[in-house]
Amino acid sequence: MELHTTRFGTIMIEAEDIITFPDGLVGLSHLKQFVLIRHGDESPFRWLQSVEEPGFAMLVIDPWFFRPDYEVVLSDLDVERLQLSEEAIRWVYVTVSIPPGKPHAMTANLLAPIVINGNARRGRQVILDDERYSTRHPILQEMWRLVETQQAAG
Amino acid sequence: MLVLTRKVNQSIMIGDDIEVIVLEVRGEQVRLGIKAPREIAVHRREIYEAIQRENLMAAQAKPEDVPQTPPPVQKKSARSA
Repeated sequence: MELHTTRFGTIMIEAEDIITFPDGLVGLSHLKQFVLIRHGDESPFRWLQSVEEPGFAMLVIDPWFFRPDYEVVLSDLDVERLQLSEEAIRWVYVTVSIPPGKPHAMTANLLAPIVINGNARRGRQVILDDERYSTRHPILQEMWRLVETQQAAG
Repeated sequence: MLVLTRKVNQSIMIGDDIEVIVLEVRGEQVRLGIKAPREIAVHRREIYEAIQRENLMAAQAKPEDVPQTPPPVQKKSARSA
C-alpha cells in the first residue's frame, strides 16, 4: 500500500511493516501506528514515521552504536503491552534531537527507549528507572568516550 | 482543582483503586507513596514532559542534518536490528 509522508514523499509499505504502539508515544498518545524507515544502508539512524500523521517522523538511532553498555530493563507491564515472549525479536531505538544547524550537538534520549517486538509488530516507549540515563546524552561525546575506552583497552 | 489537607500517613483515594499516601514531610520535600494498578503509569511530571519534548524535537530533525556516514568509530556488538 502507499503511505504519504511529508519528508519522504509517497512510499510503498506492506501491512506487516506497520508497528502498533497500543499506548502511543510518551506525551503523544494519539499516534499509534508507525513504520521504520532506514536512513541509509550503513546508517545506525532510522526514522519512525507515523502512519496517521504524514508530517510526523522521529529520528531514532541504535543506542548500542554509541553506548555499548546500554541496558534496558523492562517492567512486567512493558512486557505485557509488547506481548513479548522469550524468543521474540526485540528492536530498541532511542530518539535523537538535533539542535537546528548544529548536528554535532545531537543528543539521544536514553531514559525513554522505544522497544519493538519484531514478531508481533508491537511497540512501546518505555521509561527506565535508571539514574545512569538522561533524556539528553550528547551522542558524539559518548562515541569519543567509547573510542578512549577502546584505546585504553589496547 | 480539588485541594485537600492531609497529615503524614494519611492518604487520598482516586477512584476505587488508586491511593496516594503522604509518607514524610521534611522542609520543602514531600514523600508520596502511590498504590495503583499496574496498567496505570505513574511518573514525575518533569520527566514525562522532558520525554515529550525530546519526542517533538526528534520529529523536527531534517534528513539533511543527519550524518550520511556513521562517525569513524568501530562498532561493537549491537543488539538491535
